[in-house]
Amino acid sequence: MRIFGRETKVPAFLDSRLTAGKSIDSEFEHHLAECVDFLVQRGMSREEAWQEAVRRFGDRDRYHDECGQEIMQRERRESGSGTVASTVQDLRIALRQLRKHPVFAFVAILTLGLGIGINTLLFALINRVLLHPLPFPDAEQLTVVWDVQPGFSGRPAVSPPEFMDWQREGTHFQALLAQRRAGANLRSEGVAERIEIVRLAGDYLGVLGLEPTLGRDFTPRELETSERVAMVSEAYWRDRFAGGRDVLGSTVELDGEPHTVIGVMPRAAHRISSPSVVAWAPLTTAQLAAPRWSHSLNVFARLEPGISLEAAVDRTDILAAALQESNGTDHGIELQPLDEFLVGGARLGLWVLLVSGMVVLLIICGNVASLFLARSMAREQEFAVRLSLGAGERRLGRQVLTETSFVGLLGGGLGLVLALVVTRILTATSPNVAALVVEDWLDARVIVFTLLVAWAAGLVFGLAPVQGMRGDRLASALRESEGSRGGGGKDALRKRRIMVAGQLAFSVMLVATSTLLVRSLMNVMKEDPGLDSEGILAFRLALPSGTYPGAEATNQFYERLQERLEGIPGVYSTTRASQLPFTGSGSSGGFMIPGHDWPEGERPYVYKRVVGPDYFETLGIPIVRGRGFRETDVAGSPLVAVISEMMADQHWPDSDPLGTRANVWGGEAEIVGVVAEVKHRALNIESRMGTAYVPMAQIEERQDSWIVVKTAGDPLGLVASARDLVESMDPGVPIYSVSTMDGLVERTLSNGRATAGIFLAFAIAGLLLSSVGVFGVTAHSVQRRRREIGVRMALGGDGRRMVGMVLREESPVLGLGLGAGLLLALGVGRVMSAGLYQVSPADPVSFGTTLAILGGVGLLAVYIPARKAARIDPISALRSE
Amino acid sequence: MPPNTTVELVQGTLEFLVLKTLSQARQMHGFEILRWIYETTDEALTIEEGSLYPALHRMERRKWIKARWATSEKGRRAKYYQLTASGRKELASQDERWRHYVAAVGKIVISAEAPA
Repeated sequence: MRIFGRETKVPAFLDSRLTAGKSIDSEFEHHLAECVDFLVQRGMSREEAWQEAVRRFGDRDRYHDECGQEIMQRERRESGSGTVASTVQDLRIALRQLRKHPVFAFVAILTLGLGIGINTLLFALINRVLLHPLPFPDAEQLTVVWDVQPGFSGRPAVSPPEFMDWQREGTHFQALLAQRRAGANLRSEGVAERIEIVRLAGDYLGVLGLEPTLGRDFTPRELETSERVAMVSEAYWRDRFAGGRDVLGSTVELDGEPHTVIGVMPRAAHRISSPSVVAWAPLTTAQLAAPRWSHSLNVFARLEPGISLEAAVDRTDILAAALQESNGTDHGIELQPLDEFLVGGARLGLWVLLVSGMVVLLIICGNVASLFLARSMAREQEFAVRLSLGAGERRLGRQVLTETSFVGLLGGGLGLVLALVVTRILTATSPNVAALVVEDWLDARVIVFTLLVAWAAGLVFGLAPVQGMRGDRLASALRESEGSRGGGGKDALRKRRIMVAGQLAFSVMLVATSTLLVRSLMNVMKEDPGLDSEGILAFRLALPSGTYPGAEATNQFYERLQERLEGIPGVYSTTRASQLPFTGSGSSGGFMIPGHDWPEGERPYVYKRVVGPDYFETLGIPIVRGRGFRETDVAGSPLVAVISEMMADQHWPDSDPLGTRANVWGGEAEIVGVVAEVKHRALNIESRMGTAYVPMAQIEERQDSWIVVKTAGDPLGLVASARDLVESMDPGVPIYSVSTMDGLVERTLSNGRATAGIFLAFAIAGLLLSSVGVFGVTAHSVQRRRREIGVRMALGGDGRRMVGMVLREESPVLGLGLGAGLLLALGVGRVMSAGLYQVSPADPVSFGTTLAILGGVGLLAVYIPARKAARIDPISALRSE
Repeated sequence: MPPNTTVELVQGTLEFLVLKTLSQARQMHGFEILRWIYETTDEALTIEEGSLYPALHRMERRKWIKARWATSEKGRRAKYYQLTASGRKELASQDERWRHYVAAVGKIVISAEAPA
């Protein structure tokens, strides 16, 4: 064979395949040519003759396949190697079947892809979290060590003195490590960025049983004296030093302090902190000197070899008792296996998720099987005839299974693609979650799992049609074709109607649920955030306490920055705040009104916000009475506070709070203004308590801050200039968490959006499946009754009445499915009513829409095949039997 | 049988007809076989013409007939079939069975017609 002018060797089986295919074709062509000649002799025009010849010949594809199979069987008998060839033949048939029924193929592959994609993702998660053993040698010797305080539920962290006690006295520990995670400003080669670091003490690599990827470990002396040395992550090493040795001895600036890089931390170390950690450095002197009540460290230990966990627990209890005695405290110590700490709680949950994923896939397989069944029923007679003409039962079965496995594998491929797309989206939208869950998720195990699931799915939904092809069933199919169509078909039809009604019910539930979720989401989006988010850019910065030791220094920096930002054309105003609405963080606490005593434990709480001048004006929060904060509200001037309307109504119900005094934050302040309420957390979360605001310049503690800029144009257009400005003021301070206010509000909606989106996708898939199901059942029923309809037409019935008859007969299936689905949806709605916002779980609009959509689609799915009944030609209908 | 009435083939009949037809000539191509059947039965038998070919291939597999490509009188490339020795044996045994069958059914048909 020549391809691109070169002699190409074609595999023998393909070659014989091609030759056989060509020879069948030329035999058919010859037949048609002879037939045309024959008909022309009898007085037809060539064109008529050609059409007539083709008509007489019948289903050319089918006969071609049948001849091909005969040839193959003959060859196999002669050469003894036809398996590959016949598989190729089967695949060819499968492809043609799919091309002939594109909607069928589309629906089957799409829904399978969805189902398999879900399972791929779940398995990837399990593979990553559960199946990969911890990357530490003798990991069963590793435990987490907790401090236990009587009367304090949960597991508090450990204080440095406690850690040192354990290190000294805990003879059953081979080694201990302590760490605390922190954010830090990193500066290297002139670029500043906000990163995550780990401050540590103890024998870090010794406990984990790891060696540095490059360089050396910390020495005990470096750790005790808080030397400025650091180890960096492999990612940092790769990105900045291209994996070269020159990283050793280089300098990283952490929070303004230069640290010398002594080594590269192995990847496995991230497992006990986070994948995004960039650098490890000793605890600072201040951190080491923290008092016994300052619980800030996470402690991990490696047990002495040969000591079982039970023995270690006993010896830890003895240690705790001894320490209580010598320190005069009542704190205990608890051990938790590292494996349980890292994956423990997730284990059961993950398996439950995977099992439910499998159930969803099984339901989908059931649906696809019913589609195949519908089609194989249409082909039942064809199969029966072929079987009786000597085609092997096993051969036909294999052909069907080849087709379904093929569809299964296509679905699997689509599933992998979908899983890839989802992880890409996840990586783009929430990199932290993604790093934990989906980084490197696609390995050989996941691919093998997906293909196996896909193939198994193909076999599962293939077995139904093959069962339907068994000899006895086919014998009855043949009988039916000979005489009047009897009970067997009717019975099968009834089963399928019930199945279709079930699918419809399921779709009603899905469509109704997603409609409820979408309406809920729309209600949430209509809510007023309580501020004017348009044109607002917000970003954070953290000034290192080494360079900016107190509140005065930080406030000066912020003021200078704001001044220069306000100099940029198009900027209306700027402000700053320790916490912003819709960022997911905030603090609350009690306050006092002089002369007003609340009983112990009943002191009212409010949200507390530390903000800069022009905060309310910049964020567009309406000032109801009085004034907002000014440049003049600084340290030394009279303390002032602004309260929200709700706080005013709750605590000054009968009087005007303006001019009265309250102690919100470090001293009595005069209330100078009342502002409108803001939604702090999310659009659908109504605040139940009020808010008190104090000026940042009057607070003694230094604050990390958000900087807020209100501009006339696109706020994102300001990012570069803001970054340059901050860099020009202090090149070691990066800006981070850069976002528009709209973006922040939007992000609080993303969960609801994702949930509604997932339900919607399933609802659409379900709608497709069930309408195809209805279509299939009706088409089959019309086909089955061709003869009866033919007789009625012959006796003078008109087409429209035949359509009406079919509609009447099939509509009860719709009614049954819709009714059952409605009940199901009401139940599901009740269960999820907590997740709905201002939508009743029995919302008439949602349910009305759902019924209209499904009823409409269902009726259409009945009507289209029913219309065929009207077109049945009585003569041919009668003769076809 | 009136010429304007047609009947469809009972399953399994086609193979017999092909064997019988091929026994009348040295070799025939597909359309010649059909044409011979049409003419012999006054076009009372109709089949979907394409269905002849799977039957031919099946009989080839069973070695009742063999095929070879040749050029026809009209100058076309055609695939010619001829009976083999085992095909003749098969024809003989089927011929026997069909005669019995036709005779038996014929008796019933006639006896059922008689009273009417």
